[in-house]
Amino acid sequence: MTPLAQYAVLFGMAVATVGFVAMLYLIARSFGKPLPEPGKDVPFTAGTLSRAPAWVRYHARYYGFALLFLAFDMEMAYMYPWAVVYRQFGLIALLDMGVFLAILFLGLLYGWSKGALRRQ
Amino acid sequence: MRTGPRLGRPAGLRQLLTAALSAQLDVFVLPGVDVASAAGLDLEAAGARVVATPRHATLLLVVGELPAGLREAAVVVYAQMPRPRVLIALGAGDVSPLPLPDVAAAADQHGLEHSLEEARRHLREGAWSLEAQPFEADALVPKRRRKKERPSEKPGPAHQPQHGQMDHAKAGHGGMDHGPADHGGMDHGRAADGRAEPDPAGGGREEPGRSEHAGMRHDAREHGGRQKRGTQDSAMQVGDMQHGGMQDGGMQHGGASGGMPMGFMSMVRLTQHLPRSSDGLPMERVQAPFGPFFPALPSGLDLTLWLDGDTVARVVSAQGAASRGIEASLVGDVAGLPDRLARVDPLAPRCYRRLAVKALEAAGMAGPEPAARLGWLAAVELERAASHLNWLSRLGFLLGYGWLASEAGRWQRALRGSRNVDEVAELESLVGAFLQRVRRTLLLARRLRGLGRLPGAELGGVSGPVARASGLRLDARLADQTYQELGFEPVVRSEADALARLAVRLDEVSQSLGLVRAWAQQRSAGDRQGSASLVPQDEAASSLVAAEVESPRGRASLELAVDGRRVVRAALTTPSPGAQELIERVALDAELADALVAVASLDISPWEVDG
Amino acid sequence: MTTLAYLLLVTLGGYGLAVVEEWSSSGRWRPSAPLLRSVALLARESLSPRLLDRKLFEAAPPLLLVAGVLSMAVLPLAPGVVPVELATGALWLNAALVYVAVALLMAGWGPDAAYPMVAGFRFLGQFVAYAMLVVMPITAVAMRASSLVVGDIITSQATLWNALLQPLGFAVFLLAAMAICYLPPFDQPVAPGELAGGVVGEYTGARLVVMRLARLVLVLSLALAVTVFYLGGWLGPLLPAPAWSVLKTLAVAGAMLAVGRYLPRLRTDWPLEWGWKVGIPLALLNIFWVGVVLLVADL
Repeated sequence: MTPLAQYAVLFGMAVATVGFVAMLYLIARSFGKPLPEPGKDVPFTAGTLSRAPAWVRYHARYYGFALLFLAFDMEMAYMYPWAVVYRQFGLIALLDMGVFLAILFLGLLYGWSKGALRRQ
Repeated sequence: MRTGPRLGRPAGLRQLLTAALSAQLDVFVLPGVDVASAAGLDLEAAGARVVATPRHATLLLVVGELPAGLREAAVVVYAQMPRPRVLIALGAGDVSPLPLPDVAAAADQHGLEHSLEEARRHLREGAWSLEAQPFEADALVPKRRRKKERPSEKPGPAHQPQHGQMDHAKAGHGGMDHGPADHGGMDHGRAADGRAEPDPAGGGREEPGRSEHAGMRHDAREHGGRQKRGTQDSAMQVGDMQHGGMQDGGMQHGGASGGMPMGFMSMVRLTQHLPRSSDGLPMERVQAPFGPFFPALPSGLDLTLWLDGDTVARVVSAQGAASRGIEASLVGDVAGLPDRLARVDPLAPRCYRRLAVKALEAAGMAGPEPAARLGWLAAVELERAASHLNWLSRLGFLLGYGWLASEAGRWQRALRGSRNVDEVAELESLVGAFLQRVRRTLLLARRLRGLGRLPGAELGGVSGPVARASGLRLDARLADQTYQELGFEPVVRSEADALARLAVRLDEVSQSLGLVRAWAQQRSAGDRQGSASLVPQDEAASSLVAAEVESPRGRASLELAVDGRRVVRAALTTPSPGAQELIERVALDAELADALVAVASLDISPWEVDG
Repeated sequence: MTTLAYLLLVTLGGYGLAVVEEWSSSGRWRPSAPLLRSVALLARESLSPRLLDRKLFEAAPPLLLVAGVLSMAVLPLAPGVVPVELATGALWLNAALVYVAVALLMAGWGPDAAYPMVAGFRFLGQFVAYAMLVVMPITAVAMRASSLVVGDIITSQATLWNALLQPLGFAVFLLAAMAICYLPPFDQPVAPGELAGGVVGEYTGARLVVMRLARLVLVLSLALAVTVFYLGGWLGPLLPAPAWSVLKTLAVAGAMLAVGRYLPRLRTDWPLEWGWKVGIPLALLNIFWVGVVLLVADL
């Protein structure tokens, strides 16, 4: 199969899955709609009817990790093709990528020493 | 009124499917699994699966009588269950304003199994009904806050109704696609109000700003939510602009703008009034209730946390949610005092019964002797061990440690139901092996170390395992001659964190079983049976007596004024109110899971907090 | 024909896994329980919370299921028995699994409720922790096979399984796989104790069925990925190739499900700290190790 056909098959699988989900929803809907009652649609908060909004600026504490993740993610984009041709190039490939990885690893150590790798 | 079934005709495929509903029963337990376990119920063995939220539950199981303060919360929980649903009341009596229970039985294992069978029948036959009606109760209708309750930081009260009217205008205009528009708008108003309470800790300024800010953002997001996601930013900017406009109109700033250029929509100016988190960023908080029926915390505990991300920024825990006026009811006939006092704490009834008997013995008379074969010390110590194991099981559930939750529950039920000393002796070695395995669990020690540190000096009047884990050698059993003869020595640790409290309780379980064994040997060696059953005397020797006992959570004491054969005045102090005051200290500024574990490590019984 | 066989095997394996999961949570063997529970859930009301981001709330369950299905689509059960034999199969697996984090974050944000919100963002933190630890071992495995085609990766293990050649990568990938399908002790987003159900807490009825099914598919897919990358896939004597795949996958999945019962849930920062301070250096060491071995020994 050509790659285009393969991706078409994958897309078809995704669509079929969504169709399957829709079918399940239709089956559930065929039994009737939920009966509207007061208080039923308020999210569960341990017995209190709390309508306080939760859509606020969430203070994620792991942004130090997330920044380093970006750097390493870019690196991994280069590692995929490198891994495929590694055997072909031998020692040179090891050294080239070794330098790249070493620089990134030094970056990781630097971030670690500056306190990026902890709960902020 | 049929509030359990779905609305529809029970026919054909529906009947087939609802037969499947009865195959696996998902249960949400009120007031909590700890109370159910203390009553000796084994839900897994009866074929039910306990779930953590009523949204996933088919059955609502009410065990024991619900206090008046928790009825509203129970109504809310019932309303949040999807249909078809079945309400089971085990030993609960009248549960109004909840609807009439579909099944009612006694609060023991047999009653549980019978009621589950009945529930299955209800689901098979009555999951659909044409007479199904919406369940309505006062507790479910949102209370409209009056405008004057809003803080008057804004210039003049006229500004507030305008804000509210803006909500209405926005809500009416454009047609929200979910729910009635007015309802949504007024809820915004209420939501903004809900966080505009006067803040005792910080300045009052930050609250209205935050609520306004958040309320505005909420509107902006509502508005943006109807459009495509991509235009979210523009909607938010609209909200910000309006907020900026209002700020120009009214809010006084301290004027400390520093050297920064305060341009239009300057983020620095907009967020100046917001409180800073520990890393210096101004973020918004979410108000999240964690009580009274949070599955992993003690049942009946009223706790509300303001979360800054997943860090606890503010803690509010009201006392007395589970109060039933027990202290007032202690007045009355002497003979019924132990039973009345035993109602205080469903998690440790025998201990309070012993407290009443002790007080009466100090007054020169005797109450009825519980568990005559075992004797009072064995009863109290077995209950202590069972209570600690019950707490351990809930801790296991909180920590996501399934093996601990089920095994601790199993040993708790075994100890609670043991009838003679031979059984206890058998269980002692098995329980000891179990405790050893708990202590050696990978990662458990690391998980609990350092959480909720409470140095002994800061504890105030708190007693029990919490005090003993902070290095304080406090134990009411030290003053008791029977324990001294057995060579009792309290378990004391000094690290004062959640791990130390766990270690103290684990050691106390072993210690209690050892005490039972030693006492049984002493009793069979000597002849102390005679002193167990005193003949009640006609006249009280003294009129004002006090007694204390070491309950599983700490020192409990009772002061009685006895006149003839009547108790005319009674004052009861229990360990849990003091422990509940420690909640803020252990939970503040902790990560959410750590805060919950620290609160759980205090082993509070809200039932003892008789407000 | 092969796709049908694949679907059949996967469905049977998935159902067996559901029975194992039922056992690990309740302690008893009930073979009919998963089917009955799903059917019963369909018969219950599907509630929507009062204020919700409709698109996110509705899109999260299908997206989670699609992520699981697509990630499995490149993993073969036998030579040629695979829906799509992509030239970049190993990369595709990672790409599909990223949508798990997206779906759970959407599910957390959608209902405008406190518990799901915290749970969703916690999973995002877990994602930052495990994302690199999935990719780096796959790179090392691809180095040995000189190809990203999953079938080639399997056949490259004919002499020695990768689990024995690259034990560090195996351990790291196995833990990361457990973190992706949020199995205990990594079950932050669906914590029944801490967050009363977490991101799944506000889903009922049909949507809950889809969320649970999606999680099952994810576990199966990741167990199959571990088998394929490290345990030699279909390779093995005596039995036919699909039988080996199924056996190994179910063994791995059973191990993944069983571990959680005996460990407390990890603190939120532990996956992040350990993943970045210990996991990344180990994964880099693994790549270096594989590089040296391939130069020297040409396995």
